[in-house]
Amino acid sequence: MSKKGLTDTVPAAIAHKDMAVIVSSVSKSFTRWQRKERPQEQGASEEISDGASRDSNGTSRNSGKASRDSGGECFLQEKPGSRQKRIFGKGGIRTVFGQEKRTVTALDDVSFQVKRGEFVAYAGPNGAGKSTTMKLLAGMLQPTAGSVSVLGMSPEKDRIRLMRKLGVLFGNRTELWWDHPVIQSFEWKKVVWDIPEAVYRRNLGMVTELLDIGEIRNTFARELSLGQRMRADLGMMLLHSPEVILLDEPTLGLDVVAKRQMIEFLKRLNREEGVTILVTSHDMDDLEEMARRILMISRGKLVYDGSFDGLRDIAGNLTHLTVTTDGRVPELAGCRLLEGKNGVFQFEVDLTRLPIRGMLERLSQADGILDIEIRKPPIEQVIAQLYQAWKCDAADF
Amino acid sequence: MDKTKEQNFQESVRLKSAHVKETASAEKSVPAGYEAFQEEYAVDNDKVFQKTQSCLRKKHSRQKKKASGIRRYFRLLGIYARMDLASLTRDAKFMAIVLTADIVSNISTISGIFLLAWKFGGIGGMDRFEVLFMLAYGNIVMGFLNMMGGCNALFPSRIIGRGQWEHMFIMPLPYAVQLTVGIFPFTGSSSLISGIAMLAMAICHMEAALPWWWPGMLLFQLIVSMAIVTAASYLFSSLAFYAPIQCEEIASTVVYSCDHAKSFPLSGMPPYIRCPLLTIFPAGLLAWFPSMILLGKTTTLQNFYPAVFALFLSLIAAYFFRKGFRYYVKKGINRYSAGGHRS
Repeated sequence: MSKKGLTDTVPAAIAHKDMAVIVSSVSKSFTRWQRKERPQEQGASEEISDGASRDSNGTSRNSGKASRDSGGECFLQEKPGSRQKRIFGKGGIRTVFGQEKRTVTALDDVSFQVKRGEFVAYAGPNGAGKSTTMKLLAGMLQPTAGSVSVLGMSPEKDRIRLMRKLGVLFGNRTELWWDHPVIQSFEWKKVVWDIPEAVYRRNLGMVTELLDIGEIRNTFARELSLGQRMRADLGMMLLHSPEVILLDEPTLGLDVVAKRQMIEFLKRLNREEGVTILVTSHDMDDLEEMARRILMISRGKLVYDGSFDGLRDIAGNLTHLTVTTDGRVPELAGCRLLEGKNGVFQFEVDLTRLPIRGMLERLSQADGILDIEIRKPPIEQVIAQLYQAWKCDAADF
Repeated sequence: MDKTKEQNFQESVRLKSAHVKETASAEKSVPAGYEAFQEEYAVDNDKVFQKTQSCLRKKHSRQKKKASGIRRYFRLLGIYARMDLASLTRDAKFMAIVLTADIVSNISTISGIFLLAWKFGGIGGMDRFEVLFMLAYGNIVMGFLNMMGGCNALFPSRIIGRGQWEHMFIMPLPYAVQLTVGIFPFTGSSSLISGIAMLAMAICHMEAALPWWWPGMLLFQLIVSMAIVTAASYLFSSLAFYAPIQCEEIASTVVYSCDHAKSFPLSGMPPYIRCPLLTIFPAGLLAWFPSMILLGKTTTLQNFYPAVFALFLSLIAAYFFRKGFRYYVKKGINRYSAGGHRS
């Protein structure tokens, strides 16, 4: 699978017509104040250690700039005027309070397009720029350069019109009214979004059934558990039938059951209602289960746009083989042993070099084999490898 | 002179009618291609008709839109009011505590000044009921703003500092509407109600007869005073765009300090105290100065001062708030406080 984006295959003529999200050459930089990195005053410390000389009592001699007391603590002995210099001069107050303005590039010339009805995962390590992209798409930020278009509208200029068709959910914040029952928040949304009664009734019924929020509808938002709150938030977001949904960490902090419920619901929503979904998460297995396409961002740059299998190809696409034996270590030429414990051995094998038939032959010849399991490399592992590689590249650079 | 004018007018009318007749006869005497001309003329007529119709339709839809916009605005006010009522009446004990606390706090804020005025028969040239009038006026100003300023609309620095403007971005309503519909008519109106009651009492005890336009003047001055508080709050809140943590509570500091200082009658004060309180820290414009205007104790020129000041302050506040907002959407904010969401 090539590294080329799936969007490259869309004919230019229909590209814009069919697109739900267009991000073209977007850069976003922030200025941040931070403490000035001051070079270690090695000279001074050297002076301290070199210049310090001890007399027989362990106290400093008069020529020393620094000396050690009997307890071994280091202290400075001042030269006339040097104290003032140290406080107000280089390395003193000026440096302590010295802060510098730095420009941090959160997004650097990022371009991608999302077709209507697509389910796209947006992934990247911490601080890569995922939430910044989400905020740009939701109109919460403006790009430093480039343009953003959602459903053919500019989030900045057509905010009101766009928000009628866009659903936004940030996992770490809620749209629910804290001191009111969930249903009250739903009714509030109906009035604010001006949702027609019939649409509201239909969507309320749908989210109540599919997200199983019948029991919590009349509960105060502040009394809900995290999973319940997320379900209620998701339900609330869908009341106005959004055409595009932006989800930032929707599975954050959810237990296995709540996560499954949410994933199933989102998949169904995308499949049956044709809603375009762009979702970010750190849980790569969840993302793979939900989306068919993944956009990966690292240090503000879009580094991958394609399928999950394509990502595995980049990482080497090494198949994982788990062999359970009676305790003996199986001899499998062409397979790399990753780990083995209590008769369970993990191997890594490149099926392009060692075809599956050959591998099975070798397995059948090995003694003491009780069970085997062949599976694709876990996407978490693939992505961890990639993150690590990108990190090293950046460090080298 | 008039005769000449009339002659000129008649002459121009004659010339115009002659021109119309000539044009009509010229139209009638089109010999060749008359039918084609007529057709074209007919098409033009249709076009004109269609254009007129579409204009009327547009105008009608604009009016309809406006009406539906107003209806929607009231629906929004209604939902917030309903939520406020629901929140107040969810528990009888809670309701009793809230109402009692509000009444006690309102009485305590004004009682000191009023008792002093009662004891000494007035303060600085204002008699007892004039002082009561001033206190009532101040209560109405702050009471109305408290009622309308639910969801921190009166304290925008809280919204900005807590990173909650992001909730406003995703609502399909103009920001101005979002900030003005969040009313708390039941939990936030005690000050307004007590202010109105005190005002009625003060007016009943005033000796001078009030002119017919006086209620209009009162309403105007109330709006001006509210505009001053709001503008001051928004002006200082614009700092929160740049320093969200440090300035999160700057609006409440400004509003509450004005609120506390507004209750003091400035009549007997020396100019070096009075002037700052009417300019750089305009607490005097929230109750004392407007009350003096309404009681007829100022000159005509002075009557315009609060309105001019409110306009000036509003323009400055609007300029700096917009500037700060532009900075905010460019730079973003790395702060979000979930606990304070819409509270």
